Amino acid sequence: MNKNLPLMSMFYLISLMGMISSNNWFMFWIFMEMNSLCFIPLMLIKKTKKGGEASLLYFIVQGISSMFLLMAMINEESSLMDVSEPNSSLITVAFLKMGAGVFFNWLFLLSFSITLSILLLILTLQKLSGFFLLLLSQAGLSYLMLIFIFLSSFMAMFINMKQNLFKSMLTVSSLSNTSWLLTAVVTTYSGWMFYFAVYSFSLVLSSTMNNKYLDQNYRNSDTLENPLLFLSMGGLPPMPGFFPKILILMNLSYSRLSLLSIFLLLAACVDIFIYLRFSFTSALKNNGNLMYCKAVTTKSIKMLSLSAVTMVTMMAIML
Amino acid sequence: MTLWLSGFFFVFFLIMTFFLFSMGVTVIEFQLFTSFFTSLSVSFVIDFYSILFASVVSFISAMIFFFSQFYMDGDTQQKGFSLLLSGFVISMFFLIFSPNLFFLLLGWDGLGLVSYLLVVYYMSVSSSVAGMLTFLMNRVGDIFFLFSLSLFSLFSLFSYFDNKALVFVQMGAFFLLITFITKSAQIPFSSWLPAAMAAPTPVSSLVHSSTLVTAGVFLLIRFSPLMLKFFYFLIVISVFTMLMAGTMANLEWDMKKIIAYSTLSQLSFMMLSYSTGLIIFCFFHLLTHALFKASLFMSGGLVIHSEDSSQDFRNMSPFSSGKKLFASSFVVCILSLCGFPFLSGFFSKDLILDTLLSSFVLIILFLIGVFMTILYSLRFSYYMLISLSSFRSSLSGVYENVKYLILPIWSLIIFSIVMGSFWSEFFFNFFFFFTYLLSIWKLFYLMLVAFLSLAYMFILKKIFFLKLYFFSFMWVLNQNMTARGVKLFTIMADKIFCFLDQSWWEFYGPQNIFFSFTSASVLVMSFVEWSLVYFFALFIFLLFFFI
Repeated sequence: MNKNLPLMSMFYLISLMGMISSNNWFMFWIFMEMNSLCFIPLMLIKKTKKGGEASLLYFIVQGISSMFLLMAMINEESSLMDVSEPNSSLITVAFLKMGAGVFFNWLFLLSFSITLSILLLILTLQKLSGFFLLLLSQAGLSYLMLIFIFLSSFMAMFINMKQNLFKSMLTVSSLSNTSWLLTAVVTTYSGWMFYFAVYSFSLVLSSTMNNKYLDQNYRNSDTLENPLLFLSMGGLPPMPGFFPKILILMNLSYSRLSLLSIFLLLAACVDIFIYLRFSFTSALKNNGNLMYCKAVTTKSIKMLSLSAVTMVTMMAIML
Repeated sequence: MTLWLSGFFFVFFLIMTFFLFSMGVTVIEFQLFTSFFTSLSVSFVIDFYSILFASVVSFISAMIFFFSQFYMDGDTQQKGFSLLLSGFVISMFFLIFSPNLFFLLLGWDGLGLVSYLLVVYYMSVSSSVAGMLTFLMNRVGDIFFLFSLSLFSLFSLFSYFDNKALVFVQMGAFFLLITFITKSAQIPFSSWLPAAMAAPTPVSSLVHSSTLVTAGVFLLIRFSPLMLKFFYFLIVISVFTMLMAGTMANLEWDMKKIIAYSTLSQLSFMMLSYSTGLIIFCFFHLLTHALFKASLFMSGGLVIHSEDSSQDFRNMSPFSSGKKLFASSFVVCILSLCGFPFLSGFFSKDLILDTLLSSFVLIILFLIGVFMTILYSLRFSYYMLISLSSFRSSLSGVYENVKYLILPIWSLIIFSIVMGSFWSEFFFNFFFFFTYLLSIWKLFYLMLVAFLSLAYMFILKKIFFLKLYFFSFMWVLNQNMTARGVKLFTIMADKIFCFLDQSWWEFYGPQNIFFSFTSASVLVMSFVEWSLVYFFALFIFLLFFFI
C-alpha cells in the first residue's frame, strides 16, 4: 500500500466537501482542481499497462473543463450559448465532467484502461463534482438539459446493445443512470440523493463480487449475483434500483413532464431487456465448473451481498 | 372432531348474536405494508350485514356439522371431511368480514379450492368430471376477479369504501359483477350448479344455504354502490335464470338436483330484487332462504340415506310410512320455499313481490318464475309424501342415529318458522300489516296459479315435451359452455397463432425492432469509438461558442 494513500484520500474527501460548501465560483474552481490533482495519483497507484495514458486523458478532460469553468466565470455575461438562462456554460462544464450525452466518449475510452476500483470511483464520487456544479448554479430544466438527458438515455440504449465486457457494461449503464440523475437533480433534490445512494451502493457491491471476472467476457460469468445487480441498475421492480426510479417518475408525473418520463421509461425498458438477455444465459446455463465457482466467491461474500441488497430494499420501501 | 367443530361454530354464533344489536359500522384495520405508492392492510368490517350473515352462517354450519356426524357415519375419512368443511366456513368468513379486495380474493379462492375437493370426495369418474366442471367454471370467475383487482390497484382502491366514478373503476366493477354471477350460477355460468350435486349432502346443504352460491349475492350487496350502472344487465340475466331453473326443476327426476334448481331459482329471485334496487330485501331473502334450504337439504340427505343412496324419487315414498316428524319438517321447508303465509319465506318474498308491482313486464316474468316455484314444490312434495309404491321399508336404518337428526333439522325448522317475523320485526320493519289486506292482487294471483297448474297438467306439459331436449338440458347451456365453447376458443387461438403470432406479427414486430436497434447501435458505436479526434473537434467547436 502506498504510504501517501491516507493523506491523498483525506484531501480528496476535503475537496468534495469544499466543493459543495463553497460560496463563490472561484473557491469551487480551486476545490475542483484539488479534486482532480488528488485523483490522478490515485489512478496511478496500481501500475498497469495503459495507466499512464488513462491518467493523461483524465487530466486533459479535467483541464479542459476547469478552463471552461474559468472562462464562464470571467465572461459570464457574454457567453454565446445562453439560449434560455445565464448559466448554460456552467451546465456544459458539468456535462463534460460527468461524461453525459455527447461527452461520453472520453469516459468510454477510459474505462478500458483503468482498474475496476478506479472506474467505480469515477462513476460514483467523481460524478459528484458535476452534480454539485449543477446544484450550485441552480440549473432548471432548460432545453440544453433536456437535450442532454435525451442524448444520454438514447446513447446508452444503443451502445448497450453491443457490450460484452463487465467494465464497459458498467460504464454504459452509468450513462443511462446519468440521464435519470440529471432529471432528478433538476426536479427533486431528495430523489437525486436517494437515487445516487442506491446506485453507488449497487456499484460498490458489484466490485466486491466481481474481482475475478475482470476483463472477462461477461456472458461467461457463472454467478447469479451480477445479473441481479444489473437488473437492479436497470430498475426491475423488486430490486432496490426500482424504487428511486419510480420516485423520480412520480415527481415527473406531478410536474406533467410526460414526454420526458416516456423517453426515460423507453430507455429503461431496453436496458432491462439487454440485462435480462445476459442473465438468462448465466442463469440457465449448466454450470460445469461449479467447484471453481465456489472457490472464487466465498459464502461470506454471498451472504454479505444478499444482506446488503435486502437492507437497501428495506430502506427503499421505508422511504 | 365433527361435534367439536359444531360446538365451536355454535359458540361463534352466540358471540355474533351478542354483537347483533350493537348497530353502527366498525372497521378494524391493521397496516401490513406501506410504501410511497401503495399500502396494504388487513381489515375487518363489523356492521349490520356482516354480523347478521355471519351469525346465520355459523348457526347453519354448526347444525350441518352435527348432521354430518349422522350422515358420514361409516366414512373412513370423516376427520378430513369435517376439516374441509370447516375450511369452507372459514373462507366464507373471510368473504364476509373483509372489505379488502386482496383478502376477498383469498376467501374466494379458498371457496373454489375447497368446493373442488369436496365435489370429488367420493372419487368416482362422474364426480371427478363434475368437480372439474365446478372448478373450471369458478376459475373463470376468479380470472375476472383478478382483472378487476388489477384495474382497482391502478388507483390503489382495495376496499369497497373508497370507490370513485372513474372509467377504469366502472370496468373493474363490471368484471366483479361477472365474477359474482359465476359464483351464484346465473345464466351463462349455471351448468356447474347441478354438477356440484355429486358432493356429499352436508356439503350441498352448506353450499346452497349459506356459503358458496350465496357468496356471490352477498358480495353483490356489499359492492352495490359500484354496480348501479349494470342493474339492467342483471335484470335480464336473473329473469332468464329464474325461468330456466323453474323449467329444469319441473323436468328433473333427481331429488338433489331439484333442490339445486330450486336454489338457483331462489338466487335469481334475489338477484332480480337486487337489480331492481331492493337491496335490503334481497339480503333479507338471502337469510331466510339460507335457513329453510339447509333443513330441506338435510331432509333430502335423510331420505337418500334411508333409500340406499338412491336419489331418484320415482320409486320411493319415504315419508308416507316413516316418521311423521321429518315429513312435517319437509312440508314446512317446502311451504316456506313457496312463501306460505307467516313462515319465514313469506315475509321476505311477499315484501319483494309487493314492491315489484311497479313494473308490468317485470311482474309478468316474475310471476311466471314464482309460478314455476310453486309448481315444482308441489310436484316434489307429491312424490315425497304420497305413497305410490311402498314395497321398500322406509327409514329403516335411521332410528339408531335419530338423536343426530332431530337437533339440526328441527332447530333449523324452528328458526325458519320464527326468524322471518323476528328479523322483519327488528331489522326489516319497512312494511305494515294493512298492506296485506290492501293487496287484493294476491287473490287473483292464487287463482292464476291454480288455473295455470291445471293448464300445465293438460296442455303445457305437451308443449314442454315437444322441446324436451332444449328444456331438459338446461337450455343447451351445458354443451355450449363446455365442449363447444372451448372448441370455438381453441380454433380461434390456433388461427391467431398461425397467422399472427408466428408469421408477420413476429416478423414486423419484435424481429424488426431488434434488427433496427442493432443497426442503430452499430452506428452509435462507430460514433463513440471514433477515438479522441472526435472529442477534440467537439472541444474546438465549444471554444467557438464561448469566445
